[in-house]
Amino acid sequence: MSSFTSIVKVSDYILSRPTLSKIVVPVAKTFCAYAGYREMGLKFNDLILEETPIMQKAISRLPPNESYARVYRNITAHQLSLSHELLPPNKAVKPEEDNHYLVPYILEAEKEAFERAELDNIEVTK
Amino acid sequence: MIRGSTFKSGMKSVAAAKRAIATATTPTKYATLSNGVTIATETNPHAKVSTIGLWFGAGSRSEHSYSNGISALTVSTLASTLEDGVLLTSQSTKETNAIIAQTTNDNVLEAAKLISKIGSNPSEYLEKADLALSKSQLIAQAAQLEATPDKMVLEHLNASAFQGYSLALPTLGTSESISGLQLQDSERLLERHLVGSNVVVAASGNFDHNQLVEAVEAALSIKQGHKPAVKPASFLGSEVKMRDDTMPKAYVALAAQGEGVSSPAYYVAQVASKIFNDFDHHSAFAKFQSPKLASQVQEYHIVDKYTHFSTSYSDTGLWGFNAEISNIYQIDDFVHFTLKQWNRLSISITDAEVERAKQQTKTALLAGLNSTEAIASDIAKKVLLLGYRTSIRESLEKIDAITTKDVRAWAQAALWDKDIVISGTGQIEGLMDYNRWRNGMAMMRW
Amino acid sequence: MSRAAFRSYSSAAAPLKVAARDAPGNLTTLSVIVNNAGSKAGKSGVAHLLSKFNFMNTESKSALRFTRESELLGGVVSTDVTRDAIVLKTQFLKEDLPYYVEALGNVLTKTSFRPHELPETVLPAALNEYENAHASNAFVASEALHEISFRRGYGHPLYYDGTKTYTSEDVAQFASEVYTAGNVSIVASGAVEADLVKFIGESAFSELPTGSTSAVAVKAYTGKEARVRVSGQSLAVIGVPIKPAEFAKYDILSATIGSAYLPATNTPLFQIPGASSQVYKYQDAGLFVVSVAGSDSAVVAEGIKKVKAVVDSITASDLSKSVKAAKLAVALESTLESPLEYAIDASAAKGGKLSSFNYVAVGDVDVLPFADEL
Repeated sequence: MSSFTSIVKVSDYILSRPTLSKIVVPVAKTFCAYAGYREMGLKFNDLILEETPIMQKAISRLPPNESYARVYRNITAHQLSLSHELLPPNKAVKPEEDNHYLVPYILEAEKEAFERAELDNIEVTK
Repeated sequence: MIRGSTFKSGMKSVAAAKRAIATATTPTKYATLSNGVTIATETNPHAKVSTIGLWFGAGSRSEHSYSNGISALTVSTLASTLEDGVLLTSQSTKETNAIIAQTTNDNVLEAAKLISKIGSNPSEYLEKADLALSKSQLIAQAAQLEATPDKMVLEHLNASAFQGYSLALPTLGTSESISGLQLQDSERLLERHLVGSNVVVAASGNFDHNQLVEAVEAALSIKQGHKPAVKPASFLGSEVKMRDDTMPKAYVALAAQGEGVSSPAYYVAQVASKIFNDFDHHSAFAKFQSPKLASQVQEYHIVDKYTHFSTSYSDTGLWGFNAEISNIYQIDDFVHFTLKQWNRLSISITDAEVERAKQQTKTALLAGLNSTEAIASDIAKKVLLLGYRTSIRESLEKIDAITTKDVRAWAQAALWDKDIVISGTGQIEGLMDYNRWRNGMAMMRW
Repeated sequence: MSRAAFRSYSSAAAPLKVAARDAPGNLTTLSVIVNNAGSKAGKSGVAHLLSKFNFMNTESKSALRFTRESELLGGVVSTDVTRDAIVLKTQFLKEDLPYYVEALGNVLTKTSFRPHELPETVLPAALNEYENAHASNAFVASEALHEISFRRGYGHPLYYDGTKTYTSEDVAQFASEVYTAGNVSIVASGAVEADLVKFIGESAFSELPTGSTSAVAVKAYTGKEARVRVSGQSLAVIGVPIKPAEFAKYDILSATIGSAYLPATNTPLFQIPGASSQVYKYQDAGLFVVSVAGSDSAVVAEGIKKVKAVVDSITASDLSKSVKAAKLAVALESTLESPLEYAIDASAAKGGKLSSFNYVAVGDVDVLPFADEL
């Protein structure tokens, strides 16, 4: 599985190239808008598969208010799914609210895991 | 050197560091007194306390089950007082006993005279002393050891491993055996064991070697005689369990036969035990430690604490672990993972692990010599059990020379598919039986 | 306490106290003592938490990498809090001196205090240390005695007890106050002083902010009593708050009656089961302590009365006979990190009747006597 570290690297590269980002950024924004998760009260970071040790570590390190908000959004989405409804446009998550609140924590947890793998496989050179 | 960027930052000024290594190690000075007693001293200009002691070969291994505890009782009766700034204490192991005097440096000749006086005429001191008081103290110490489960399992491990031999006897004796001891038993012990070739006077501190030798030579009279022969002990695969559900945890020790002090593989066994090292789940560093075993047990909290040891007697030893486990439903997980890691010693241990263990063995060896008492004790025991003591520099060179191949060869000969001894107390319902773990000492395929 | 052996080196105008002595053998012990940063300083418990943050992630190196590297070099590190100071101790093979100087410098100046480290690593380790210590009633008694004798400063609990909530910023704030050049002294055994000073100059130690925190004012109280009702061993403890100038006097008294550092059978206290005495020595104060401990509270109750009679019956000639023993006790107690270098001579053999003292009873307090019954 590609790591978030590599995804962030690729997106940073795209953003650093004006021509490339002029094409990719609008596509990405449109994709997110049409994906529909914002009408379910979710942020993009809420959609990341959380059943991995790295995600568990990242989620456990969220500040208490972020963690509460994440759980609240999840419950909202569940309720909406149950009742087959969507949030009205004024209550849906706005694009500017859809921040990457979890990504820094994922990156830190991945960095630790990569470092551990490196040190676990250290070799002696004589 | 370790590959990668790992060490670059710390290694800027290696040239200057090399200068630090070139500092001299104080050599141990030896002398033999006219009565055959070896005297060994090591001086340290920074020592605030000087230690001089008289060691002799005896210990619980020289006893019978009915006289068990007599050597510990004898030395603790002889040396337990404070005499004009000289503190007399005793030390007992399975194979040696000692009366030790500690004092400030200016007082060291007084201490030497005092030790010599006691060593020359122990019967007089024994008769003057309150034997009943010493007995009650020793019984209290033995009871204290039985009440300290992590130490108790080790004593029982030893007892089961060498059952049928005097090496199995507990160092301090048991309350039953101690209470039956008499003055004549002490005298008989000293008669047999306090003889010239079986005595070492060792000292460490800040003093003049020659003056000390002269003082001991003038005051110490010990009769000539031969060192009593030690009957070899043999290791028996076995287990001893004392289940006690009122205790808060399970205490488990498991070992294979280890190396004696004279074994060529003495340091290899120590390095092998350092590959797994010690672990304390509650330490802030627990989750960062190098041993693979530590990473495994840390993540699931299947052990509170473990230590790996390589204990050496004169002709044999024990090599294994001692663990405290509060997660009593996963005792088998811990033992299983540990034995599988032990298996790796024979087949797939890596150079990096061995190099780390070698460095840690060296530091542990040096750090153990942290007081003048520890230094004198190390010198004396080595000389008694081995006949000589390799200098620290030589020991370090021997450790440096160990290769991964040596560790593998040792593990294949000493661990792979070998008998083990298991000892446990506390909540050990989950500790499986002997055959289960005996099978764990090898793998069918890997 | 005399610190005469220290020399000061100014690097970047910051005076660091460095004392090194070469020693035989291939081992170096290098310790950093941050004075006035122990549990007496700051809010109660913060110093303990800070001590557990040492050797955690720094800006230049993660805790994982440091631990792994240090293990590869064979080094052993530890970090502890005392009432006076935070002590970081490292032991390693001589050739690794530059590595550990740099590592210790990074700990003091570059620790990153990441918020998640507090709940994940630091708090469990600190609370476990607290619980282990408090499992011993002797420690409980010592804590109570310090509290009634000094109230604030030295009376603070030694360890973080979990009653107050601190964030990693609180700990970082405390670190920025106490990790200063004036507070830090570096001691080494088995290192060449010139090398050590050179490595320190090249390390992050030179980035330590100047200044120092002042010692916490000491006010001692006597005539106080504390009783703690707990299960297990019973203890009765008599404590006398003393000044550093009186250490020698009480060392001699302690050696005369029977010191915890001199376990001998021919002392008066040995005749009383479970009795011992000790002098706790701090930078600006001390405590002379005589205690009786045992599982049978009736024996302890009787013992503490006898102990008081023993101390009161000590004569000047008894004391002058124990000067040498006191010297030995102090030599045995002295360590690299807290060397005891004051002189002990016959002029200090002047006794000390237990006229005004503090008293702590721990364990079965139904049976243990009250202070005015002694």
